[in-house]
Amino acid sequence: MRAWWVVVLLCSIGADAAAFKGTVALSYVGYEDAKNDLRASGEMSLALHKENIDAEASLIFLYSRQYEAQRYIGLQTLYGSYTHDVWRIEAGKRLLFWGELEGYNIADIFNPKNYLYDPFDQSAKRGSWSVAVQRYFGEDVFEVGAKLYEEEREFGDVGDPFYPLPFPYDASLQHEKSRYSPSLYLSYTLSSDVWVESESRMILWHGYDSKRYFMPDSFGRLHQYAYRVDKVLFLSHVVYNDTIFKCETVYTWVDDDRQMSDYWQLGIGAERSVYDIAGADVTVYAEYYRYGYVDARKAEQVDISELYNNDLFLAAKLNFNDTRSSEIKAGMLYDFTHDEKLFKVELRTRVQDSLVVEGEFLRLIPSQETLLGSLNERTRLDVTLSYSF
Amino acid sequence: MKKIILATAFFTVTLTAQSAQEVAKRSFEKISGYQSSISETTMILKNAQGATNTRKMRIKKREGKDGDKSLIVFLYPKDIQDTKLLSYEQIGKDDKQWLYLPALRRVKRISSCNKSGSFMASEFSYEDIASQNYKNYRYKGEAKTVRKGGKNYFRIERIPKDAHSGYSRQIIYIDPKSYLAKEGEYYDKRGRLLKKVSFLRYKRIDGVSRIVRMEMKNVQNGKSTLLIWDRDRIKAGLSQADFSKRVLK
Repeated sequence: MRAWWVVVLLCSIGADAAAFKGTVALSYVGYEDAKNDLRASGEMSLALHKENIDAEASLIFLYSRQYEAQRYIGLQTLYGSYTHDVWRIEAGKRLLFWGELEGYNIADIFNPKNYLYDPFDQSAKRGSWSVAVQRYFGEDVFEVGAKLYEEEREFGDVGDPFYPLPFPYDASLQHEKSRYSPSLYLSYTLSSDVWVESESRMILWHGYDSKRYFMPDSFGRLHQYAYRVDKVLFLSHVVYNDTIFKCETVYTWVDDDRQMSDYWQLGIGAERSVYDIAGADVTVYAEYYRYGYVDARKAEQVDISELYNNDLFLAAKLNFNDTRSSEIKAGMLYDFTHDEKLFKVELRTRVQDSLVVEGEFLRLIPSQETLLGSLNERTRLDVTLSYSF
Repeated sequence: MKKIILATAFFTVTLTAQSAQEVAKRSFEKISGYQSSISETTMILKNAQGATNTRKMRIKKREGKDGDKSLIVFLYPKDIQDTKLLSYEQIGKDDKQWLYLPALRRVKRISSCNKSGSFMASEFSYEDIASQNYKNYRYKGEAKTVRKGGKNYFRIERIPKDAHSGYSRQIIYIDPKSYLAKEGEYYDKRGRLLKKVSFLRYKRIDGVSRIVRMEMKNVQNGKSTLLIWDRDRIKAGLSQADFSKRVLK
């Protein structure tokens, strides 16, 4: 690790501009049934710029006093990019965001989720080794890229409050081909002002699926199994007055897997903001997600339930516009099929310029038939003090 | 003595003979012609109790016939560093705005009607920090000459054309010699005085008047924001590509 930082520092000497940024956070996490926890977490990043070249390296860490699984330090990103005229090449360990919606992004399949950090935070992800070339046509973008490696996913241990599985789990990944077999994608983003303002993106994907199924080994431990697919993803948003309509759809053809069926996913939603209500801004979100197998009987053996199927997400964000940048977010996810409910409230305010306090309350009312029903803990209260430098 | 009287009379006639729109146009021309600019600014937010918070940002702007384009990169506090706001002003239409959230690596389109919303929790709204193009307003009658704080000003009244504006009308006080706006009073949709703006200092760069310091006071909630341009470079040679969505990443 030291050697790595030496390389980064040497690189920064030749750079026109170097920017270091860091955040450390201390959290108290209270559970209803499990032991309460004290967590330290953070991220440090260094960004370099020289003429047409940019580079970024970042580290993340988490240390839980109570739960061993939530102790890690790792390289989150390490990539370089070269821009020339309308071309851009990017290579390394990257984080990408593919999505339009707020509650759940069906199309955000590139990076694995970081379930150890928080299984309910869709934005908690780990970087992926990959390479991409982009060509710009005005506001439109064509991109071809490859993800070079399939990562394992950690869930913790049986008994951890955040552990989501009914049986013990072994993180070593089972896979159809070599895990170094690349997943390739082609993408085109199109902006339009005809009739209404919109931006749409189509992505064609060939390689490992982001969704995986679980297979037990001879010791009764569950393993994740990665299979290969062809996917077409379509993302779009349309701006109409002060409302933004959004859509994410995915169709997946499974390549020669005996257990998994082809499947489709749909997410639609709308976002509307109202400004300057007694100085505050309010944004409301409504989204609906649907998921289906083409051959449900085929997938019966491996299906461990899809969390975002026939689900409605409703949320609101209240931004007080005070000097402390205080805001409240509140949302709920309701599963019509299983009558499952998830409630989340987040508060954030600035104590000083560099010191932020955040609070979060999460309450889960699951069905026993679903994956959420296996989760050990259903209520969580989290208070975090973070310092940025 | 006759000369002084004649000169004063001539000056008074000159002051009162112009329409509000002419004065607004001339005032706008004084701050136009920068082509493109790169500036670094500090924003000091003060609440009603006097406690302050600081924001810093780098602003790139480019003049356009149909409206200016701007890219704001937040520099401080550190937790919002590298957050970027790209805006395309569209005269006569809703503006376009995109926000880049670096923690999520996400470019997010934000609502076109975000005119009256607070900019970075300050007393400046998005329309206050946008270009003050005179074409965005309707004007009433002639510019009146008034005396305020021992100085003469042109007093013009303008009404925002945009239905999403947070203001019903604005009174602007313009220095009759330099044609630069010095003070303003902004009225809310109910017609009550909402904010008072002071354009505290300008400087000339390459023949263009550039604001250096301005303050916005909200008379209804007692909060205020001071905006200071620490560095400012005009005719910076920025191209259309510098304001493409790709610069957000």
